[in-house]
Amino acid sequence: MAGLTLKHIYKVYENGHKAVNDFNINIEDKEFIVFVGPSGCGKSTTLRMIAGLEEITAGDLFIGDTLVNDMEPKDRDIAMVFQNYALYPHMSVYENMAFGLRNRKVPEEVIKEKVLNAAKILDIEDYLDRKPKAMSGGQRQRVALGRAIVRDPKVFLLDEPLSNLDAKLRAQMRTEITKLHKSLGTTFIYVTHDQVEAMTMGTRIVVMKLGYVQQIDTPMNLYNKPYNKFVAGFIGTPQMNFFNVRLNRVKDKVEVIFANGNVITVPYEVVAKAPDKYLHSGVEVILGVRPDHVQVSEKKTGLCGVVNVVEHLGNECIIYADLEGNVENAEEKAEEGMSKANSITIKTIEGIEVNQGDKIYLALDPHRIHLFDKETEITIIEEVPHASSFMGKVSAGKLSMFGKSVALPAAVKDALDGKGEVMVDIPPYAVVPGKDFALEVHDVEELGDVRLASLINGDRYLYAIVDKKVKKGDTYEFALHLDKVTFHAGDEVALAPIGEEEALIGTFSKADRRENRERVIDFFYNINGVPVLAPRENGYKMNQVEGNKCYKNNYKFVINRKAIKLAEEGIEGDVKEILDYGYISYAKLDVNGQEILVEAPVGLADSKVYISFAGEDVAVHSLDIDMRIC
Amino acid sequence: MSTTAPKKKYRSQKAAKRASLAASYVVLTILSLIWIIPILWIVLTAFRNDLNESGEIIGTVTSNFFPNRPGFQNFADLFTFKMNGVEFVFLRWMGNTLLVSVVCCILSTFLILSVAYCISKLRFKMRKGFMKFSMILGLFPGFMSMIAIYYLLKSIGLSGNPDNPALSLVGLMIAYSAGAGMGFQVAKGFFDVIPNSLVESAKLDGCTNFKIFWKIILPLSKPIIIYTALMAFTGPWMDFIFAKVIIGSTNTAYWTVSVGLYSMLYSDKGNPDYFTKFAAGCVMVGIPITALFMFLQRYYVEGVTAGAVKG
Amino acid sequence: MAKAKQIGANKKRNWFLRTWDNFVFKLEEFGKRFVDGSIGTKLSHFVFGAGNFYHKQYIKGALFLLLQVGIILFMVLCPSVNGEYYGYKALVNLALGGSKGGEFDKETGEQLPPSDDKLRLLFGLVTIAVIVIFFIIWLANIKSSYKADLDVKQGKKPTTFIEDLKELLDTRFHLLMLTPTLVAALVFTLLPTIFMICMAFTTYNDFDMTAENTTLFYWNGVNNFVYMFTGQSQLGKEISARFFPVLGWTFLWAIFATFTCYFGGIILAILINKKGLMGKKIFRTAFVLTIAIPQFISLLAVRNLFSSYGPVNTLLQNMGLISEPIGFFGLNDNDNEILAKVMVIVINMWLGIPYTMLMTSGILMNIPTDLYEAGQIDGASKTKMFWKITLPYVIFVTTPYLIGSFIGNINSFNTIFLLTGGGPTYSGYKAGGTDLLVTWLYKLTIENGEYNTGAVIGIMTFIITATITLITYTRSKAYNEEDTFQ
Repeated sequence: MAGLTLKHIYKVYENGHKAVNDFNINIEDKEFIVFVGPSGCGKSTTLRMIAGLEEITAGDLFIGDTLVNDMEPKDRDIAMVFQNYALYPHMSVYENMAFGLRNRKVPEEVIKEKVLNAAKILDIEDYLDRKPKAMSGGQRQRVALGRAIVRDPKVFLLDEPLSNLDAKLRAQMRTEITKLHKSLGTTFIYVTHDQVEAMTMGTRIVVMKLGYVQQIDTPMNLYNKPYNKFVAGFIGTPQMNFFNVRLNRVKDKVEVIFANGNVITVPYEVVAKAPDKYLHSGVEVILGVRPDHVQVSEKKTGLCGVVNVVEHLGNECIIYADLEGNVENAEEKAEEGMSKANSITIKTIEGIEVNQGDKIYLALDPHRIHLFDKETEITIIEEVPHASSFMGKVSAGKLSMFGKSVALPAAVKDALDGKGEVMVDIPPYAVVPGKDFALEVHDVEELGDVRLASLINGDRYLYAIVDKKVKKGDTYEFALHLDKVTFHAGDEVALAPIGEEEALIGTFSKADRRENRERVIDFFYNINGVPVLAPRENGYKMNQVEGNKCYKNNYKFVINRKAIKLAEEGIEGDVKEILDYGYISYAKLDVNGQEILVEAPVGLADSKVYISFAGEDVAVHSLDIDMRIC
Repeated sequence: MSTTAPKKKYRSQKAAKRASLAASYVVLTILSLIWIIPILWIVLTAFRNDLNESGEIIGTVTSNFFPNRPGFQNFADLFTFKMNGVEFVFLRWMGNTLLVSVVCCILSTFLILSVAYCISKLRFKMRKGFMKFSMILGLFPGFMSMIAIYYLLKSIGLSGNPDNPALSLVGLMIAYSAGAGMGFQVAKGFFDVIPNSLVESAKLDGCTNFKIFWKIILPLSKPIIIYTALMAFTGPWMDFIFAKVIIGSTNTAYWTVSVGLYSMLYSDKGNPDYFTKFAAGCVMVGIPITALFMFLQRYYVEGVTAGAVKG
Repeated sequence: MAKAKQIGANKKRNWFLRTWDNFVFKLEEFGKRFVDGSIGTKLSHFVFGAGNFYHKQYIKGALFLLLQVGIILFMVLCPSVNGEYYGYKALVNLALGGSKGGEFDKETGEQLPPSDDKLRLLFGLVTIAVIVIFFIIWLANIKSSYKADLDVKQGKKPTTFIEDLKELLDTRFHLLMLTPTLVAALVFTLLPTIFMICMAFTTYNDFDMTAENTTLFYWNGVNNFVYMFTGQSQLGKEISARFFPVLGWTFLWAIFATFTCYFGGIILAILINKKGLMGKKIFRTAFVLTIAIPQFISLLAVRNLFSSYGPVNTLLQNMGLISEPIGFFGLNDNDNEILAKVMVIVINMWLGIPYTMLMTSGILMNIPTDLYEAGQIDGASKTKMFWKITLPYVIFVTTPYLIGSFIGNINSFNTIFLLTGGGPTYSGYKAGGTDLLVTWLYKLTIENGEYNTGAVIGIMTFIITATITLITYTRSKAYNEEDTFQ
């Protein structure tokens, strides 16, 4: 029994195809994790890497606390159920189940006991003498499960085990596998392309697409809070409806304007966390609403359609309708993969009298709508919003915002002088306790580890991460970390925020030295010819992943900015500028053509400085393909 | 009225079907005859004991298809016969060939299956290199290497050894089996079809690669084992060039049947008069081989198909 | 940032540079191993197995040592066979070329016997092969010792002999399985092939295989190739006059032989597998007989069936269609060449069609039936289904076979050799009207001892077949998708 940890796992084939990209997950013991996604999304590859059937290109895989990257499959203490069952055709069911134990030299009596026990659980006691060929698909499936059970593995891997069964059997086996998981109390990792299986079985689900993890969450969260359009469309049947809409805020309501001219309104609260730029009908966004959350309305609403097809399923009925109104370039939009742009699916309880051709009015559940950015397809209503935007005014070195005016630190002043009106994107974590501003707390949400407060500023909210003392109705006094906010002047970014990481490009090398007359190899990251001692295990990883070419190629070294220190010696950089943000200040350095920012005192007078950092704080990325090696 | 039209059509369809079937029978019958006649002729010739004016058996090719005087004299002659001073030890030739082919069969099958398994189911550094190497090597015409093989065998006493001519047969076995491993493609094609998940499953079950080969792959590969063995077994019965060069033309006692039969007609020791005896010899060789072939035809077809489909 | 990107770009090196890099890297590693290794590893650079003894791996060490001693003895003692030497003497002989027989020994004044030049060349090559193997064993012995060093350094015990053997059954199973084949291929295929290639660059030709008479061999550079293409020397002239006709016929033959058998077989298979046909088994057996019967028997039977006094000629004469017996197979010099060519193609059909028939039958049974059902629903006629479904499927599946069979036919020896023997004979050097490159090769070398010329033709044949193979195989789907992951 053990958990699993996957850290920055990559799979890159020899032909350069990246099957899995930066897969990170921490699987607790006894979890039932489902990898789901369309074919070619890398879910099976990931599973096979866990099993040891596929080599891991880069990253670390732990089963329990053991790093198993280089461990043989048989030593990993895992069992796997294959899609085609992979039963040995020339062995009887008993032999199939006993084979793995016999190879491990388990005494014959113990084998017998275990096999009979597993057969009992799976209800295949009567078939133990049969050959797999003489069994039905469902029975074979049970044998495959039984073969895994008798091994008592730490982790159970199942690769699309139900895809070869018919629908009825599949539903039955689904519940049986869930039951099995409960009774065995083992970690299960289950791969499927079927979202119903994923939703019904998993305690957590990993949704993947084209090698990238899209979202890792519980089934309910995936359904209710899909991170992007792909997840939203993939989870749930019938599929979510998508429309291109524009949003327009009118006081405490927001108008949702469809491409065909239909308009509905939703309360502002629903979209309060969306960045302000989406709310002024300037930007098109994608509206997603599940068929379950569309109702046929008795009253006249802003959204009407003509019924196309009605499917009666007995307890419920699914209506396919076309939205009324002229749709400009509807066909074009249909090609983009929108659900036919002007058609809508409605799932409703039986008993509604609608027929083909009927004109119906539709009501959306305003609290169950989803909004996605049109370009990135990522939700615009994040639980912890990316940033909230407010206008401020810069004049005479002072910023006027939230009814107060504060003196700007030098760096901001220089960048914004004379810009006048600016738009400030403030991430919640840039709002820190302080004395500069004060706003009333509208509400405080507990979101896992974070407490997110919405502060009332006029008709909108500023979101801030706050500590336990802050309560609803308080007046919250705060300041802004101006190095974390973005200032827009007009359409241009006047001042970009400063990130957490810096990247430098350099090479990798090794050197020998003697220690007690023994040869010891040290590995180094070389930036501008200055070596930085790399952790030895990273050196081995570089060799393993990149081969001989690791000493020839250039690499991107990503360093946490906090880890970069000014030092007496180290990598040389020319100071180009000192950026003073008040509570913190940075030096902008030119390191042989590469520009980086380093925390530095305001009074730094040298034109040349040296920076240093520890090899442990460096992540090495390949430049040939976008991959984190170690 | 409306029902008759389709019925008529149905009837005419049936008639057309019958006509085309009849045509097929005719064509197939003619073709089978064409295919069988030469073989039939050889068999008939083997039983031909026609006499010429002076009362001797005519041994040459004659114009009559059916024997005028059937008999077993040609077969009898095969065992008690000297031609142009060469002792005619047909039974011994059969024995030599059987010995060579059994040993070859075992050696070659082992080599081919082991190589095919490695190439099909294992992944190692030199795998692609090995495949390319075998492909390129296979493109060189075999005859030139034959000369070198002859001298190689000779230099280690396995060919043309005056003290112990029987060793030539060992040389022949080596020559036949040595290159066998390079002809792994058909078996590889078969192994490729065995699902990889079986191998992976066995790996998870704790098998070594050897155990996977022995306990999983081989038990599932009966058709290809039989096909490979059949091919290896029949090889020595069919080849006469290699055998002639390696055994040499003087050691008649160690000839294989094909060398013997070929020499009866087309060598300095040959004579057109021996044709009927040659035919008898052909029947003697042909019967067991053909029987074996027919008996294992199913596996042969499977092998041929596997080889063709996967190349 | 732009500059940074420039710094960052990794140039993709070409194959040669990469290989060179690898080589340099390996060399560096080699040097490091010598410097860092234990005393045992250092010593094993000179004495095989020393490192293994140092690490108490006695059996392994003894095996290495034995090999080293054996090979050194082989090189120094120069064992001889038939008066020809292996070992260092073979290298000297190889470089100098053949000894001139009939020279007088300076000391004894006796006439020296001529050397056996085939053996001289061969033994030289064998000795080179032994040196290469020596080198490989040397590297393996150092590596093995160094690995034991590392194990000790990491606090592990060096692997025991039993553990090494166990590894051979698992992670290094391919070594165990491929070594016999590789060794056999090296000795009985690669070495002979190099031997043949070398011959093309010598003056070596003799008229007797048994080497009682000997002509001398000297290294001759590319002269043989030059002669053949420029037509200097009488032989070169005759050879070059015949080369392109033979090459052309070889291709023509390969094309006809391949496609007649291929399509003939498909048609026959479809005929036999027709629905409702009775006696399928009988028909099939009739055809399969030609595969079952050893080929030289059936070919010789046919040859005699069509001989001058054979039943066919007699039958035709009796029917009054011909007055004189026809030489179907060009066995006489003035026989019709075209007829002989047509005949070999026809007889080859007789041999080859059943084979394709069997294969196609297997494939026909495997055609997914839903393809036909879909066709039937669409109202396609039988003929249409054949052209649109059956044939494309069969051809698609058998493309690799088609390529292989084309190459096989270029090198098809038996059919031509046993039927026509290459006849009718041509005025040009040794190549008859129906001779393929291979049968010509056979005649030149085995029958006439023109080894160097034969080798030149062999190399040409190889270049042609290799080119075709490489082009077709690398483009075929089966090759490219061999390793695609499902």
